Amino acid sequence: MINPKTTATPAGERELLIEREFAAPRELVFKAWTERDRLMQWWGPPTWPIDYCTVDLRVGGAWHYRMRGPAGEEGWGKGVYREIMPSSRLVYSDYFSDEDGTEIPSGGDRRNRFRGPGWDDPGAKQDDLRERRAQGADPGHGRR
Amino acid sequence: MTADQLSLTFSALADPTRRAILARLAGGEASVTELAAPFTMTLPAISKHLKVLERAKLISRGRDAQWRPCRLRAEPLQDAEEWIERYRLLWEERFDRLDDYLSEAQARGAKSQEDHHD
Repeated sequence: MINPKTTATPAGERELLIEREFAAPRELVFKAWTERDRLMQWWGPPTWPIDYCTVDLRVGGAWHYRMRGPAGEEGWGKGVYREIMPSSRLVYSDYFSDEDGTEIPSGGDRRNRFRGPGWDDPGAKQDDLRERRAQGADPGHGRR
Repeated sequence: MTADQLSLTFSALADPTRRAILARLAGGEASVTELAAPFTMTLPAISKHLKVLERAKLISRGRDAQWRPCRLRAEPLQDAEEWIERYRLLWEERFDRLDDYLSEAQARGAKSQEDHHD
């Protein structure tokens, strides 16, 4: 286990590389990130769990979810899949949306990328993730 | 810090050599020659990296033409580090939850294989 477990390194002008290694088969990590029932169990913080979620796992398809806050507030999010290679690679845009899935502009393009070991980068960790930094974005947005 | 300053800082920090130079300068000022020593790089190549760091206001250079020591400028670096740390923490919390989920899922998988009657 590396310490700290999660590292964040600038990888470009608007790119932050976030890396974490998981002691689990990459097939399971990929499923945890792409199957509705599994996503609902970990994506949202305990105070803002996902209580509604749909997943349409194909390029151009989306996962669309609602997080429920402690006072009953709603926060919707949506990810549109850009690249899907089972157990190896997952790229999707990530933004706030409304109930209908319409994007709520937050001033930038955010793109999450899951990359399994051995995929196009020999030094890749078991899992890593890049986030396209939105200009002037508040990281707090990610959790609402 | 303005978004442009942050972009400049990010670009500067995206290179591992430049991050190593900053780590070295955290221990005190140094000359170009001293900074170049640990790297298999020419002095002009190191100078180029230093220019990027200087433009991003992450270091300052002394005025003496002969001895122009490089110094860390702590404040912009600290601003960038605080910004990065907020993102890191957000993802660390999320990944801790994923880690817990993965452990539980694997434990459940092992148990259901042992116990066929379940």
